[in-house]
Amino acid sequence: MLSALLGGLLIGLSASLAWSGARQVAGISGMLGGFLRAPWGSPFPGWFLAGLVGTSLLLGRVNGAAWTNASVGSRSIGWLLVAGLLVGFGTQLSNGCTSGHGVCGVSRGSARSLVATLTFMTVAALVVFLTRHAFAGAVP
Amino acid sequence: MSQRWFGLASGALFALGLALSGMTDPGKVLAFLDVGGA
Repeated sequence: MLSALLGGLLIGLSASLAWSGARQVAGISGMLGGFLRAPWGSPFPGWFLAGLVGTSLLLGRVNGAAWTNASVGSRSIGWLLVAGLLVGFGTQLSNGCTSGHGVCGVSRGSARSLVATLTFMTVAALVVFLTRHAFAGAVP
Repeated sequence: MSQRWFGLASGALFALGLALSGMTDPGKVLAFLDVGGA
């Protein structure tokens, strides 16, 4: 409970720092998309991703699975690839993800981000309901 | 130059926040999204 609050504060702090210091929206899909489109363009996305991945690797070394639980349940690599492609397609179609729309967009009162966030949270809950309850066992 | 440091720092803070809040654990995220109960 407290760790969730502290974690949320840190994510908010990160987004505030990115915006106030560099006028960048701290969205993970946006950073990745920006970096992949122009690796030698603005230095911000690349360094943001380096900080994100580097810190995660460090935390994993220091505290193991308690910090970076990489468990993906019983999903096979094939399903993860399909899921990853869908996430990539959706975030580019809607110009953002949980961080770009959900954290940054909603915080600054963007109507587009609010619509996007409500949409993906509703669909995510629906998919969880379908795969866990309505059609439990149908998805390998 | 400052773009690099702001990028590195905000990326690191984001990772700390995700890890601390438990959002790096897919099970926790799925449990949150599971409105139908456990």
